[in-house]
Amino acid sequence: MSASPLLELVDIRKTYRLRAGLLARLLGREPAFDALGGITLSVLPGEVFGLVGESGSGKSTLAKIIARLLAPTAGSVVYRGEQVTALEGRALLPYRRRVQMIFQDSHSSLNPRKRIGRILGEALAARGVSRASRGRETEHLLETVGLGRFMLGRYPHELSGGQRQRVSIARSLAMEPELLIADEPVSSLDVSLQGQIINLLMQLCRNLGLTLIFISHDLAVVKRISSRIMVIYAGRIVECGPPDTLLNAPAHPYTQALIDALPKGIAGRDRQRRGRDAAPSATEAKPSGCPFLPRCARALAICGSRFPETMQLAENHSVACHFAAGAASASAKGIEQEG
Amino acid sequence: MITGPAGDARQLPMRPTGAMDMLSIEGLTIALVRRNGNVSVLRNVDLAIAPGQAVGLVGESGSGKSMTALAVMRLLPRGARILSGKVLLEGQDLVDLPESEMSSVRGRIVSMISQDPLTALNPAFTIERQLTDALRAHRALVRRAARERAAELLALVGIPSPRSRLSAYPHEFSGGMRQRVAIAMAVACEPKLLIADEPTTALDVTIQAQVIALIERLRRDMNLSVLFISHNLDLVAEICDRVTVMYAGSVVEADTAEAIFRAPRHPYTRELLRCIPRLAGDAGPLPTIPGSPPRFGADLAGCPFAPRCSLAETRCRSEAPRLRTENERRLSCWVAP
Repeated sequence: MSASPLLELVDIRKTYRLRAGLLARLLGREPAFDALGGITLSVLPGEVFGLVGESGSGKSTLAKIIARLLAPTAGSVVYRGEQVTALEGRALLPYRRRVQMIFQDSHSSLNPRKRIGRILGEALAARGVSRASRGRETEHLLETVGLGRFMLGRYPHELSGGQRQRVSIARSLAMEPELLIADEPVSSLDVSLQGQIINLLMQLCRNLGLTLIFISHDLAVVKRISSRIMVIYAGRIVECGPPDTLLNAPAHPYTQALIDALPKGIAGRDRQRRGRDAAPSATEAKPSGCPFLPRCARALAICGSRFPETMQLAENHSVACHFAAGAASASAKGIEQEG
Repeated sequence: MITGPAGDARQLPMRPTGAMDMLSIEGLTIALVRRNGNVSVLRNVDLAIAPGQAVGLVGESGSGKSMTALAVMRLLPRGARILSGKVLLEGQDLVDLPESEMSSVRGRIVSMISQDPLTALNPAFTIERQLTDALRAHRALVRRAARERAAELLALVGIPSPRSRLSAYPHEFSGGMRQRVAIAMAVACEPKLLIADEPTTALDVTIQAQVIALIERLRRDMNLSVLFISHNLDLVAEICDRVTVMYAGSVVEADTAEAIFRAPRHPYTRELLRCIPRLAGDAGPLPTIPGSPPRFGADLAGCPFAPRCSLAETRCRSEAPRLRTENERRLSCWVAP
């Protein structure tokens, strides 16, 4: 990694306090939920960084922390070498402009009472574009995302899902961002339209030199567009690596489970007939243990008590799993002995 | 009948000539009745499901998949009206069935699960109450017997410690578990046909796999017929015996799953299959279908897919193709071989 990272997250934690009963509150024992348990990562400029995990894994919490829509409980967000974790108010505005977010549901992220022209115009105004040149820029934005100027007078509900998502993208581009965070941007679209939106994002990244953090639960899509993929489970990074390595030689049982769970089409019919083999250990892990334990078929004794440390398997490939670490060191020993 | 190359191990439920279909939809045409005229949503839809068979219904949003399902349940949204056609459930036409009789058909012969199990579950009642309601209505079970049966049902759909979970409320379950509860409710009265409308779209892939395996198991054990509605073609391919592809309110192609996925013939089916993102696919732009489906009420002269079809000829734009029948295949296209 020669280029200096655009974005660095250092040990990001987010704890949500849960509602507690009176007694628990009096005793100071408020239950808490760790949405993120120490996320460290860096994103390079121009990279497409894929973030994969199931609902509740903390993907969206992480996205909101990066966009500074949420404050982390601990840890720091560093952008172009500058601390942005503690920025507030006006000092935060330049960062907010450079980092834009695209949400899954374009229906709820566009104001239903404003026409598209006004939605985009307001974004341009926020960037400080003069009233005189807003009209021209609005049209230019629409053109960039493949929409015609006839859109200007329409309301969001008059558009199709694909068109609305294009408008959301145009609105984020109005800020001339450097980093886009797309949180499941195509999950609510049909397959035939998903491709259109993803291709548009990829084209924008290339043409405008944008960096993209692409959050999805669809491994097949993420694999196709990302330069690196990070898999998170229960708020922890379990595996990170280049797409081919991660999908052809997944080291973490959860990554493997995600791959196995993908529908296989006509080739998957035999599997359905046989019935799926699911032999999870169903043992509960201690809070200090590996959260994947109850669903893991390769669990070891140590998994219940200690969260595995992140281990570097190759230059770009890391995993947090006791089993994978054991396997890797065993094979390393084997090579040593042979040599 | 087309079988897989390696010999199809599963007994594909064949349709013995003369045997009655579980469900047979014939020429179903539905329109939204508006002041300024009717807006057509389903045109002449045919679909048949044999007992024990799973039929997949695929197409983009707005293609009429859910409308077809709702017509079978007789739960069409207000303003939607069946203009012509039949919905035969075990030979009985549901179209003109009085509501009082229809309510004894729902749940007992046909039931439905939807994308969002939360809409099927009442947040204010316990799971027990919701499961036993149907049992007490259709089966006239007393409270204790209904409770026993409800616990059995939860066990059947794989919910751990079912007896203690009876007193839980829907919000205490995760998404996948809620869908299991919804399935338990749907099969409580041992219906013969289960309509699953995008049952796993809101779920994670690992949970999706579990729910699909559950539906597959119930289908085998209870000899359920299944109408499986999804836009996920790979999923449909895994569990369905036959597939019907819809576009803009019409059936464009129907055949055995093997034939549809191995040798699709309608240009729309081919395009849909091409668009599935695959793990094995190369990096680079994803395949797409240019354009978007026609809006409701758009004036459809000719084939509705013609504006997006790369093979479209002059005739396709002016004259609507008729559904052709060849053996198991139904095909509605001028140019496809």
